Amino acid sequence: MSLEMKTTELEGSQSPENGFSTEASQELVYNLVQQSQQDVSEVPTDVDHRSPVPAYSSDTFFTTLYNLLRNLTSSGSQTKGEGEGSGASGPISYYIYHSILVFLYLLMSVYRFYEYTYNRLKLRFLNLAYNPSRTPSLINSDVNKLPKIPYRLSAILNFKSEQEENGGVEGLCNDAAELTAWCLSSGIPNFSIYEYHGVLKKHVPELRRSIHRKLVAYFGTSNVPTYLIKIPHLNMSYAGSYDGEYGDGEDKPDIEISLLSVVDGRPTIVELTKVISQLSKNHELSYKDINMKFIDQELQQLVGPEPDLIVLFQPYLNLQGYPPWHTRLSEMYWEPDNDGVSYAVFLRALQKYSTCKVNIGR
Amino acid sequence: MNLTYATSISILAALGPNADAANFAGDSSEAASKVDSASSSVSGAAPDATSGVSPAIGKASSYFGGLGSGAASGVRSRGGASGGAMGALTRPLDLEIHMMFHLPAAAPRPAAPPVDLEQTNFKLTLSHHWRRYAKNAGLPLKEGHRAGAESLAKVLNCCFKLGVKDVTVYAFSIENFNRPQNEIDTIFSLLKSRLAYIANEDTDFRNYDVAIKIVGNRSLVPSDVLADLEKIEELTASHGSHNLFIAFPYTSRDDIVHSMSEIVQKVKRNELSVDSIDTRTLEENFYYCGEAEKVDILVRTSGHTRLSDYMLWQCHQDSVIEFSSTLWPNFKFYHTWWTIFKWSYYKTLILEDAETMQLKKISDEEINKRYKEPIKSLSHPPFATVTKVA
Repeated sequence: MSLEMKTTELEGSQSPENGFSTEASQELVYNLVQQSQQDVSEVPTDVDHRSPVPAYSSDTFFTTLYNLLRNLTSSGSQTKGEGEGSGASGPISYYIYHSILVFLYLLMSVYRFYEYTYNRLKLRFLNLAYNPSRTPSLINSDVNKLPKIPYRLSAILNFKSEQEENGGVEGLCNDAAELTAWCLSSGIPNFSIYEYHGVLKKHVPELRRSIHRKLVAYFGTSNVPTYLIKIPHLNMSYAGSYDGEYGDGEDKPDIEISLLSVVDGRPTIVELTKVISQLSKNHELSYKDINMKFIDQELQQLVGPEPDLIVLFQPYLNLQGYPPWHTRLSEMYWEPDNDGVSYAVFLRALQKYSTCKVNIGR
Repeated sequence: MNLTYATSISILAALGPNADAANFAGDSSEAASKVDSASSSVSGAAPDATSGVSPAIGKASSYFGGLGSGAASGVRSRGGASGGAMGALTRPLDLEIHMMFHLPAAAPRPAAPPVDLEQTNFKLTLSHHWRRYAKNAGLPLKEGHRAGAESLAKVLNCCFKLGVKDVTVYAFSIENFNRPQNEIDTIFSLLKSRLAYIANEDTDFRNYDVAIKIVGNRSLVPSDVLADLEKIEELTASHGSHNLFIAFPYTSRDDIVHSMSEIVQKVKRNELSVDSIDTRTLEENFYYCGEAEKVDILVRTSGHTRLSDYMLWQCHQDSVIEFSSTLWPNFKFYHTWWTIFKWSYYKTLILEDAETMQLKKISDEEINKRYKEPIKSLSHPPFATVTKVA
């Protein structure tokens, strides 16, 4: 008894209030959101857009000691409010607990040091053990051992600053191209790349060039696979290769790459809400039509379908504002303390996915 | 800095000499309040130190690492209302944990050892066998659910002791209606009796002053169950220091759709203008009614690494999502404490980083002055030349 069954079914029915067919109203909503979305600006990478960090008092060791002594000498007189009845033990117990906490943190940092070393060594070993050597057949044989693979894969990439190793736009494009080649070799036809700031969306030519180069390196010059780069937010798509020698998007491309960023997340949902409320205010959309199926279809058009597997190439799990509607049943995979894109992580993500079982509600 | 110390001291108070005893709730909360007053008197300069208990406390939210632009620079803090840090100083732990225990695979086998991530497949098939067996035997499945409910009590005890303000439990997904009817009935009656026990009889929980609130699509609940639950809600409505949200029947997508249609209705009634709709408006119209702003920690037990339509909106930014491979019935005091301790450790590191970065941060004017002013404005000694200087 899911919600969809409870709510009114809408296919094929003329909505009584306005006479529009549902399909027509859907198209209308889509177009309107698309229009207003063009204005939603991307988050710039260089400008400091973050809200300021509040100032925390920074106690040095000496101020702490001073405060402790002061509290010891004038015990009780300083405690106010809640601790009024508790007398002198308040400040003293604070420092006792405080020092225990610092001690525990110390232990924790020692533990973290060993954990970090272990994780890095493991990753180093894995990277040696699994090396694709730019050979699609090797990757394919690795993947063919698995009982199942995802149909849609999504990767969360991080924009690193120019100074860092494999950083800047070039590094990002390189990572994206590498992942595209791996997806192609393992037979995954849909691939989306999420990058918070939307850097890739602004550098499509670079991305196409670097994908083309990578595919040539993997598959040879004579049979480069076709691909399609889509930007759902701007409703644009770029087909074929960088030099446009072949494939004008006539046939189905071997792989579809869609580029997502933070604007595809909450801002899109807000934009959709605005359009829907405007339409229903003008009696162009009936209230009954707003149900989960309708919203889901709209968001699939605006952002894309929900991925089966999200691979995070970062040291800890952090979704960074990934479109919330689309993370419903997606498996997530990340390798602790890993900070780069590597084949070992990609393969392990697929291996993990092949052991997972989704049973909705059961 | 004090924020995190104060935060975690309540943790220590609970850790104390008798960590396993269940009857020192009074002591530890007293200790925490003592600590609070102490930290406020230490900071001294805070003008609102005594009024820190006021509701105008900002949730200092942190962001693990950076968005690719360097670890520390990505730290984000939402200072909330005025003097967020100072306000938070006097509160033991301004943290909202969302426990997610999904009844499916978690409940079946209370005595099963923790399962490795790699072995998920094995565990799932096993649990399926178990369920088939349970269907025939009748009893063990029920036992499994009961163990889950007991575990909930332990985790809640731990959380409230540590000073966590709000806890949400994912009790029943809308998709769970797909299960066989007798199992649904078992879950409903267990939930009802458990909540009634918490609300009426459990003295520990009365000390914690817990308000129980139902979050979710109430129209799907059978009316008799709903009436009982609403009675419990009413009974605890006056309590204020802790909230226990029961997500029942809840899915996040349903929540978002619900919020959207609420907004549409409001716009229709001219209570809201279209231009003023933003993320805030959407959040205010969730089942949570504005308390949904953010989740600090989300725990998903039993080794699954997906969110299963739970709190998608609330935890896809700035939240720590903890996937534990422990089965829910085995998730007890230690696991809860470890989760919160880890959170507090990383948060302390982040705040430290934020401080250092803030010290080093230079203003826009300074940047312009140093790097962007035209070279011509640089001074130089007088020219000595045979040609004319233009």
